[in-house]
Amino acid sequence: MGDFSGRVRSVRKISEEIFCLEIDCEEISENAQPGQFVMLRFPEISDPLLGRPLAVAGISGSAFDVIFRIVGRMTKMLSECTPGQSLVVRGPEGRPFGEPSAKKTFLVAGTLGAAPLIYACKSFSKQQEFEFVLGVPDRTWASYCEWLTEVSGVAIEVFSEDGFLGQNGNVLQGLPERLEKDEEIWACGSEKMLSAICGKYPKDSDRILVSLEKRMACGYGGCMGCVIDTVYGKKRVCVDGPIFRGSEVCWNGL
Amino acid sequence: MVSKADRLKTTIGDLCMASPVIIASGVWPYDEKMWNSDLLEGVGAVCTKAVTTRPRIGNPGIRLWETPSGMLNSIGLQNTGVESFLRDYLPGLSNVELPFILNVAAESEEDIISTLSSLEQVSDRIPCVELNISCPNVDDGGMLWGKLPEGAEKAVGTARSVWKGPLWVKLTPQAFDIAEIGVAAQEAGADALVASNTWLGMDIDIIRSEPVFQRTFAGLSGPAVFPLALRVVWELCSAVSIPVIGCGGVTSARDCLAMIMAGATAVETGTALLTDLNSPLKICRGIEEFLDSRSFEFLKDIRGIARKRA
Repeated sequence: MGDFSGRVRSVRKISEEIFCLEIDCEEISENAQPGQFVMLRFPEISDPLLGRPLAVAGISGSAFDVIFRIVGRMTKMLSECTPGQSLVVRGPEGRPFGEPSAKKTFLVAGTLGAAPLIYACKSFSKQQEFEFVLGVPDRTWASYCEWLTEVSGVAIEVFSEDGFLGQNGNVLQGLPERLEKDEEIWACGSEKMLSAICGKYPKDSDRILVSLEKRMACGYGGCMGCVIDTVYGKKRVCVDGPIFRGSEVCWNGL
Repeated sequence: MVSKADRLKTTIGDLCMASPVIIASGVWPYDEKMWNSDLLEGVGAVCTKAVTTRPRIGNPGIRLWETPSGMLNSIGLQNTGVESFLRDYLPGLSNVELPFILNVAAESEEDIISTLSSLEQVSDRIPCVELNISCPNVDDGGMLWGKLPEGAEKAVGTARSVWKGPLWVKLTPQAFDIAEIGVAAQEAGADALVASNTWLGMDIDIIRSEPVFQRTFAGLSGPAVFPLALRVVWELCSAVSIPVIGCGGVTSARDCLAMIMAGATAVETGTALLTDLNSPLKICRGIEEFLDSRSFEFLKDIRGIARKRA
């Protein structure tokens, strides 16, 4: 882990609000594992000041991908990057998913939560049976769903709240009634979604790996800005996570 | 020819540092991998996160909020307490070559005595204590120790009566008159002053129509506060004779040089590490370039030179 210099290789506009940046940075592309993240910021600029945590969504050669939606000034600036733009890249950060340990893994994403799961899918699909379930709000996410199918290389079962894309409903409907002993879930999305998934399998939430997201300043475990309550006490999402077992997290305290 | 290594050498009392750049309390964790020398290049010493008598779980709700060229934090001194520090973290720190400065926060005289008595028993393994007087003193109705000279004198005097080693006192910019507080701390036995801590600020989430932080106020740091911190250092250096360590928004070699020219002996930098882990090394290199360009031999040669006009 450290601060490295990265250079934007390509910018892909997936929809009006969603972008994929491909960033050249060997320190990340050679070391990042699925589930880990980077902090991105602009060099020599103090406003916006702090790096933004984004999951590594894939590796190609010396570059890695991140995906994001424009939600504020920093993501707007990132969306306006052009190839060649320098960025400061901190990482790779956090505990990765690790190797899949079950026969079959359900990858469950809420909107942009697909980022770490695409990377996991691409890294382990030769050795592992995956079922990819994605939840999105409405029809404005159509091009995102198409893009995801293209880059993940697997069939994605889509659920949308307006029923326009895939099936009507949410990701819970794409999951089995019971989680068999040789099955596990890797999930990334809103806390509400993650909590509902863990709530569906109360006895088996130790076989659910969730990727959490919190406001962060340092990303290396120093500032204690991103702590959550777990059954083992306060834990830092940046270094003790972002991957936690569903059974560890105090969902009411989030 | 002066060896390069000696040019930035900085000494405060018995504490010798290879560089004037100290990592401020609150940004460096105890995790072993963060103490390997690669990451700490250019760093003279590291202040630990605050240690209190009893464990503290810290504040609920949002703890961080970015502001223009700065950030607000409301972490609430989350730490596992002094007993845990001695058991779980001190052994690791003792293996690190770089000196560390143990930041201590206390809510009462009893706490100061209790924490520092525990530390005094292992004083040979603790190079220096930095007493944070920005926190509320419950014995005084929650008034910050460092807001009035009487409170500062009480805190520092109590600490001094128990802790015999090097004692730095980290002042609060919420003080009514910072120079007065500095003099009180010096007279009560402080070996050096750190000026200063975060500025109290707040923000309001206009969508939810309520303050961002559950405790309403939070501490402002980052480049935005640098001119405020420099003014505090300037005022203090006119009033005290012990070393002053400049802290607040120091991000670049230029900022560090300005602090030294105002009279500071060293600087502490916190938020700069959050944004750039290489900043201590960049600051050191920038200072060396400056010294070369102006034909100064040592950093200490420029200490206070901006005060000629004063």
